[in-house]
Amino acid sequence: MHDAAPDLRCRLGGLTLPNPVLAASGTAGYGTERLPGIDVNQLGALVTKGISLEPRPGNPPPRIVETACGMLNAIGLQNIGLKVFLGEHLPLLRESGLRVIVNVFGETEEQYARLASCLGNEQGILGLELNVSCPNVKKGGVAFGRDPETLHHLVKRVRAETSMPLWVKLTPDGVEPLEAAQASWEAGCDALTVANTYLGMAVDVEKRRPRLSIGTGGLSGPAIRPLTLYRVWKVAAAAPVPVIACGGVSSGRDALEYLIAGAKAVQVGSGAFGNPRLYQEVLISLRDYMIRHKMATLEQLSGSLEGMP
Amino acid sequence: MRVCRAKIDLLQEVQPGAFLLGLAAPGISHEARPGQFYMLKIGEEADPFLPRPFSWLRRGPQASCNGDRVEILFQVVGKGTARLARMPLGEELQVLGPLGRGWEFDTGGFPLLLGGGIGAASLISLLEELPPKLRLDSWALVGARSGNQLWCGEEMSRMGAKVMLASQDGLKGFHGTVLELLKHEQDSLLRAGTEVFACGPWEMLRQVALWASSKGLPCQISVETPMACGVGVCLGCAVRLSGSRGYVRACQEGPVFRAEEIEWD
Ligand SMILES: Cc1cc2nc3c(=O)[nH]c(=O)nc-3n(C[C@H](O)[C@H](O)[C@H](O)COP(=O)(O)OP(=O)(O)OC[C@H]3O[C@@H](n4cnc5c(N)ncnc54)[C@H](O)[C@@H]3O)c2cc1C
Ligand SMILES: Cc1cc2nc3c(=O)[nH]c(=O)nc-3n(C[C@H](O)[C@H](O)[C@H](O)COP(=O)(O)O)c2cc1C
Ligand code: FES
Repeated sequence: MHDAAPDLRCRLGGLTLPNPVLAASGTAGYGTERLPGIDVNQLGALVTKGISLEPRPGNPPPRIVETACGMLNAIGLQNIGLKVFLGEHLPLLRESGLRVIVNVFGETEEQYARLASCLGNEQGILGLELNVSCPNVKKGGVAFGRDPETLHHLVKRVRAETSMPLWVKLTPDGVEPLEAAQASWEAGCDALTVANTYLGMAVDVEKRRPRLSIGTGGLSGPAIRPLTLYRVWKVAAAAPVPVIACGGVSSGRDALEYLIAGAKAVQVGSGAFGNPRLYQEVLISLRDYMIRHKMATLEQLSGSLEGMP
Repeated sequence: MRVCRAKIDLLQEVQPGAFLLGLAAPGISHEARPGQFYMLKIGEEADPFLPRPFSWLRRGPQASCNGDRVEILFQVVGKGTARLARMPLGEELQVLGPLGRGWEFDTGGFPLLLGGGIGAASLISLLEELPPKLRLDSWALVGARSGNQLWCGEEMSRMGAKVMLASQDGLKGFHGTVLELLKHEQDSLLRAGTEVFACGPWEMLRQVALWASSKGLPCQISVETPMACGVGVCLGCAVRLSGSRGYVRACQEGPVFRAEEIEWD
């Protein structure tokens, strides 16, 4: 039986992870919280909540609203800031042996560069993911991700600060998927995360007011999966760097769709809120699928889509 | 905290639109502290997407599952609770909990419990765990919109607390809100060492907090905010702290807070 076990190791531009199931930024904390029902070391890796140079208080409540097959969030990148992350969380992460990718966010190019130079030489971090796609903040965030030229400049600047694996998390809003992707890989990123949340809103019809404090928010969950799947397929077909799919995974089948369409790994986000065992369930169904289809390695699965006209 | 699949062994409408739900699973109730809550995923589908938070009411007592059981009282308000109310007995739900920081009580003070609407449910677990003498010495003021929605108050009365009821339609008890009742009766209620425990709508809690502070009484309140993860990682359940001290998470640092910690405006 053991001989037949497929090799789930996942190669992502210089990084090798034991499996391709990752926890998405902002949905699994800093990696130091106790996540229910799972051994975090079973994750391929955990992407931390977005860290900025200074702590951020985030937006006023209400910050979340449920929508059909998904949710809107307007957290506003509340986080503890670089100093507390380095001083209090990183030592715990090193001890735990958890594989972490740090998601970073700045309001200016300079801030991204500072974050990369401070984090980029630390032991205990496997890589950085640039969040250029948060829709919930006034400055920075998605503004960087929407303009390919600005994005190219930013990624290049950050690349110069660190040799650590560098992922760029693209926005699905207001930009041609390939243009933003190409701007990023030409600037030297090691992988692309496709994609962040979609800008959306919800209205309380009785009060005739928006349901979120800042009016709009980022849509996540199964509702966005077909949209992101299209972008993953499109980018993966052209990109010379690996694509990590992120958006609406809530079962093993969802993850398989992404991998078959060309992703090398998947991030599980808000789907885990209703099902904390989702990461393991996805992993088990990947393994079962590969056995059933006699696939020995993940490479055989990734990008195996046929019949696309 | 546990993640488990729990079997529905009771689902009974105890007042219009409110149901008593029994959930049984090994270990589900052992660690539960009064005022803590559980996240229930309702159904296997993507809609409703998020799990729903509910306070626990009491453990056991049925023999099923070695007494590893909790009861929850819920009000039908929207999609998730409407669906929950129609679930068949024997169906399994994904349950996460117990979660959060519950009521704190030492045996020094005299509890004054203030419950508005279905919020009174979280005070029943508190009453359950109080030492019997203190329970008999507790005052509970329970209010609802209608006189036929006062199941919690009647339950507390059965448990031995001294209960006063208030209904806004005047069908039962005092004609008005819990807060009006409280102000009406405050002279006979207050004793040296009175401690306030309140759960209900935000506006009621705000006024209770103001009142308690004007009387110099220690006061704990349990807040309800929309929640996604229930375990402190999504930061969706933010509650603003007083004095520009930023936000705390209702699911982790709460849902029970000391009233003076919270920014009420
Ligand atoms: C700590 C805590 C304990 C609670 N205990 C109880 C209880 O014992 N009994 C009870 O009847 N209700 C309780 N509630 C409220 C209960 O969670 C909501 O009534 C329920 O989530 C509504 O779901 P719905 O699908 O019917 O409504 P919908 O309006 O369809 O809900 C949509 C979304 O909003 C969220 N939501 C809506 N209203 C609330 C609310 N008041 N509080 C939190 N989230 C909300 C839901 O989680 C969901 O994501 C508690 C809430 C919290 C935070
Ligand atoms: C509550 C919440 C907080 C998030 N915070 C971040 C963040 O700090 N940085 C980031 O890059 N993405 C953040 N995201 C986006 C997710 O990482 C993910 O891209 C998105 O939710 C889509 O995936 P999903 O449908 O699987 O949830 C957040 C999402 C949610 C729901
Ligand atoms: S509900 Fe996610 S942090 Fe509280």
